[in-house]
Amino acid sequence: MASWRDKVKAAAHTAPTRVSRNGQVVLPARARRAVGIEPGDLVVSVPVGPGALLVEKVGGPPGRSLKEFYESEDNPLRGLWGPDPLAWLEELRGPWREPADS
Amino acid sequence: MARTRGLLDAVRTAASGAFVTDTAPLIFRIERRAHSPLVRACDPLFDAVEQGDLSCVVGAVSVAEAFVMPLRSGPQALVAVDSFLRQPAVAVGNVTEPIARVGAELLAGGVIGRLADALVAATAYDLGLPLVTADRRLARCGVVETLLVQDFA
Repeated sequence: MASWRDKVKAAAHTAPTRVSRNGQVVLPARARRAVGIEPGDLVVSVPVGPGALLVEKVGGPPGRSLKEFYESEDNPLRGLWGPDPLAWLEELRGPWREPADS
Repeated sequence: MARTRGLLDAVRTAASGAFVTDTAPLIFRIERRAHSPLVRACDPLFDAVEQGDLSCVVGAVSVAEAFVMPLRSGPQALVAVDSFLRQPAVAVGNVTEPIARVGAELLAGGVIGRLADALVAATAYDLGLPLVTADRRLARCGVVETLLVQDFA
């Protein structure tokens, strides 16, 4: 699996953003969209190494609950496990062994 | 009897404000399209979690299972799962050595027929919390108090 550093390198063609005098930066729209950060979201900044800061979403915009997000058409998880998530999970976990099989 | 009271009431009766969820109820909550009666049955439970009135523990095995398809889908799907896990009233239950040992015992003794299910049940056992599941076989294991979502749909 690609690490966050590999992903940063892969996106190296992205134009840099200058940090303002009071520390403000603009998150490029393409990067925001790719990770589901929308205007109004709450983010935290986590130092991860020299010159590297991780911006992580910790909450949605006020007025929209998580459940409302999951119910919306924006939810990227809709239908992700196919028509029958229980069958998908059953296949993932494999056969149930009865005591005689143990 | 189960249908006369909801899953939320059943969890509150079984424990003091917390439960362990198996993977399927978690997927019901975040996917929402399939198995709509089961989604509705789980909703009051996870609504209470979202409001911070009830705590939910997701076992590390369920975390792994829940991330498989989102990892194949892309970053937006990953963020959507992560949003569930990062709620203040949600905690991830790591597979500690005692939990691994209990899981192994359950599997070796033929009490539970699959390792993933055994580790989920062992997590609930270790924490002394009820387990909410959609698997009838796991619900019959008798090791921990289990609440079968289908009984409340």
